[in-house]
Amino acid sequence: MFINAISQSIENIKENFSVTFSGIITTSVSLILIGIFVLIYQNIIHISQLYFQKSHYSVFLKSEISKVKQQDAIRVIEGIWGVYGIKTISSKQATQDLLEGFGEARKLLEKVELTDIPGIIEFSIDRTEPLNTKELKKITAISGVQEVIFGRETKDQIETFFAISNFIGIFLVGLLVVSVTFIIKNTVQIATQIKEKEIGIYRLLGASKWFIRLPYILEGIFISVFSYFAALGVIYFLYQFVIAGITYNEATYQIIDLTTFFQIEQLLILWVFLIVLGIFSSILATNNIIQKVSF
Amino acid sequence: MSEENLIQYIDIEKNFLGKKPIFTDINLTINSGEFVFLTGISGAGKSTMFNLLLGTETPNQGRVIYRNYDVHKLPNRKIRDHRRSIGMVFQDYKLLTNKSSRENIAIPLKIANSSKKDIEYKLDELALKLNIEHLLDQNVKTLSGGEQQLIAIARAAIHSPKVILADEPTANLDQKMALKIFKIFERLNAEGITVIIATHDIHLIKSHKKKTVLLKNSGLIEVR
Repeated sequence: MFINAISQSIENIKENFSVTFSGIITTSVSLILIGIFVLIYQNIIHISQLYFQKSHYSVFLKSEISKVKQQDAIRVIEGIWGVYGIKTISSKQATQDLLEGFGEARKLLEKVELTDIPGIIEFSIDRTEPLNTKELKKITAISGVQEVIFGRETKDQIETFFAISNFIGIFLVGLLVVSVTFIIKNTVQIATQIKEKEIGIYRLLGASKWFIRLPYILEGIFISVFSYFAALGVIYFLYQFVIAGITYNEATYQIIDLTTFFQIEQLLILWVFLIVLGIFSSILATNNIIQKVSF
Repeated sequence: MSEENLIQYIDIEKNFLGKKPIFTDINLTINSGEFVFLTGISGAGKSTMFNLLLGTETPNQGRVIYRNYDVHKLPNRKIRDHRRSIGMVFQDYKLLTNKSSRENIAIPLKIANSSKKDIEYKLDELALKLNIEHLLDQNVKTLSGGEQQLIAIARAAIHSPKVILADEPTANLDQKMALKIFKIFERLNAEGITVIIATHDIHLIKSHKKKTVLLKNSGLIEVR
């Protein structure tokens, strides 16, 4: 049955080449859009993560920290590669900054005793990697250091940014996957409609549902696999072309290398996923015709 | 019931969407190896009798028994095996016009998952028997009506069915071709295949002494 289905499927593709070809083109375009979106999304996330991480760090000090220990902390920070712009904010200054942050409402707080605001050592780093665990431990090991927080002022913004990005990302990829499913389904459905009479005759002569379905499922797999390779090729060359044309600066230097995306395991998973999608879409498409010609 | 009674229509009533029944209380038994003419005017229900046996239509009342089982109680996956055991020659041939005669005839064997070798062997054997070798590699749409009918009969017979149902097989054919077609059915019947021909060709019925069943006034009369 399988061999017969293969030859039937090849025959169908030959007979309805324009339908199959347009199906492949539209599926490829959708897959290319998914690919471009994933590439852009991954790069934005990657660059912003590194950018935010490496930018600003705040070392919160305990109120009882001695001048000596504070100097020790500064020395350790100075010793870290890429550190610049070390700034010490005393507890008094931090309190002042806090009150200023309230603007007009600060009058309400003037009579409140703000004694627990800790002193802060702020610094930035200029390198591709954020502080590693070893470096962070070095700072926190100093008695009198409460905690090290990177980019505290932007932390909430980053989290919101990533949350929104993830949501939009999942939504768009989901939308495109659904549209790929429908493109394959519609292409196969057109092919079945062209062959409606033939399918009806097969059913009358005792063909099983799977005998009828199998050639169209193979056609769906063919469309998805062919589109996959077409899209992969286009994305590969497009990405290389774009990368070659980019002027490198601090941000673009972080653009993810193509090999990160073109790993065999990931490509294989995507390939299997598309085959499953092709099978699923074709079953959906053949359901209609099977019901129509079921006597 | 023995295998001898190949087909039994028992107390059949059939109507289409509330219209006047085309049959009421039809009872008919066809034995294995019989040659039967099913006749009646257009719309008398000859094709419906076949469709009831194929399971493409269900009776409003009654049962159709084929080889000891009730056709309309078969589960879906069994109905396809049932259809495979019957050879059907449709009035409009129902050939795949984009395929060759060879491909058309081979359909029942392909459906039954026969090997390529087996298909080729049976095809050549049957083509020789029906004298249609010269038509095998031609596209069916290039064939005449009579030739298309020959291909349709070959397709119905290729898988050695128990019974062949032929719906108006000689309609639109000249006398010579009609006789040729009829002789093929006789030959298949001589090999043990039960043949039921639905026809309103009185000349054909009169000139051959075969069991004849007439559908008339929603009933059935066995006239010979």
